[in-house]
Amino acid sequence: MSEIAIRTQGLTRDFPSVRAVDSLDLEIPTGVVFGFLGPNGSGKTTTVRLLLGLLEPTSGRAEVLGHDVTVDPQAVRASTGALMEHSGLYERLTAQENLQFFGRAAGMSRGDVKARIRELLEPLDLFDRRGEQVGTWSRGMKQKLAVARSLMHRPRVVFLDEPTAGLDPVAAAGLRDDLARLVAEEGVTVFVNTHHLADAERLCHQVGVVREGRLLALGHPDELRTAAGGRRLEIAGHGLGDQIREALLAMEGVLEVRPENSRLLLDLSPDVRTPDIVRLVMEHGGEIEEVRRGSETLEEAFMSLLEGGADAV
Amino acid sequence: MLSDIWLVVVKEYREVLLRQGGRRANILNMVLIFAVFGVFMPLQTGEWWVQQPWTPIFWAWLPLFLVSALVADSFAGERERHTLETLLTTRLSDKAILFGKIAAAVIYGYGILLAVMVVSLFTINIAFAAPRRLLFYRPDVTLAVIVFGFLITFMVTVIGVMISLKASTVRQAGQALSLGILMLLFFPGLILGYLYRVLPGDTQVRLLDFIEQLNPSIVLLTVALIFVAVDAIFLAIAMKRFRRSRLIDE
Repeated sequence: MSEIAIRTQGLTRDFPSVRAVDSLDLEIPTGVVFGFLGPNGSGKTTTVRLLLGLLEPTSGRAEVLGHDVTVDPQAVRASTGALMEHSGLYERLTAQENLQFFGRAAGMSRGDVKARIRELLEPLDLFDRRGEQVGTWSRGMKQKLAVARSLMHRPRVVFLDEPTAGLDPVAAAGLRDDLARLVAEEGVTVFVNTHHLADAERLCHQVGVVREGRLLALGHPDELRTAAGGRRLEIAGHGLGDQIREALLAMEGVLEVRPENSRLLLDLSPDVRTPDIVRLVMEHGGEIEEVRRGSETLEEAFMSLLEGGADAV
Repeated sequence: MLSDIWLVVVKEYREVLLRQGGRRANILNMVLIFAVFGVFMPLQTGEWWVQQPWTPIFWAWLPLFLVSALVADSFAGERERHTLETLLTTRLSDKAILFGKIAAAVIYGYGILLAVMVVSLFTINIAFAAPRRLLFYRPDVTLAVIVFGFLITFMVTVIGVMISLKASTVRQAGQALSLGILMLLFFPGLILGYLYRVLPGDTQVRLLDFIEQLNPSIVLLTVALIFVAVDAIFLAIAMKRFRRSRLIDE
């Protein structure tokens, strides 16, 4: 088995008026959940279409499980599953008929299809409703079924394009939990497009941030938070006045100090040590009741990456 | 490959049976087709239904209308209902998807045509046959219906699928296909009629004499071969136009 599930080198796709994907270089190891984060129109869906061999690249190349997507797209599609922008379910058919069609289309035997339907739908609480027409279902139920469909033939790589889009918060959280469990159980490599940071926080081992087709950052969500915004420190206490703020700002590695009620919120570069901060506050007469370390949320890191005009990696 | 094609055919039928109006309404439509073309019209026509040679002309256009709704929906419907992209992400080859869609419409239209032909034969025999005498279509008429029925169904299906590949909605595909069928029905006659009228009088007479001397079997065979060639050309164009990337781009 290839150690790298997905590899792109200078992958570029132009449309008549826009460059949707711009020199994308990615290496995604097998077994990880990779989050591709970016605002609408940033080239996420085009990237998935390129990786599935549905679109041809303008330049560059891409491999999925060792298969070149332009040379052998059918082999790529045979070993991958996909949930695209829309659920893609046949609403006039029942849930069972949908899964039967896609299972058989993937080359599964009738017996295997039957067993797999039970295996996938039971944990999603959909098995008893498998005989119902999908068109009568709620959006959340359809999304769950679409996820099950994408895993139907036990693919080694699954592409999910905005899986929680359009769901209410409760349904989205439920789907995220089901996804996390299914992904862990199935042991597949997942490439998930999203602009919902909660999806990335909950599911992803590795994330890439993309804007206007260019990759801005790549790494573990924690690494991105640190790289984008450094560390945060929250000091609560008394006597944390202007003199202490000025002293802190003069200290190397302290980026910003904001007073908030009886607290100070500090943005720090990664190399600053907390004991040095505490010592400086006390030396200037401050009384500390609580010191709490924190970091930027992924959402803040994401926003600062997008707004900060970071150079592509 | 064949099992993949059949898989697409079965999926198409399941969807067609459940399209607007539901299973009951679609079964009712089918019953209506058989009632009109298999019972009512033969009863109105009498024994002539199986004896006169113009029957093939009547039967040959029936599939045009039977398959038009199905083929208009083939790709435009998938696009409209946002299922096309997911279908394209499957392992199914381009040919399996395309041939599956074509086969579904051809089997549907041609199957109904042949079934209606059999039902109308029963109707005629029950209503008009004398004791111990069965009425049957003339062999040449039967052969013509079987051959031309298939060739015309196939041609309309492939044209319809090509239109559906390009159309963004089923309605748009249906309108374009209806226009195409009308042109197919009337355009050749109008052109030939116009060309005949502009010919000098003595040439017209010579042409009529020539046509009268032609062997009908040879004429039918030639027309059939022309249809086969046209069908093959349309199929080749449809295969060339069916590209996943083009479908996604559009």
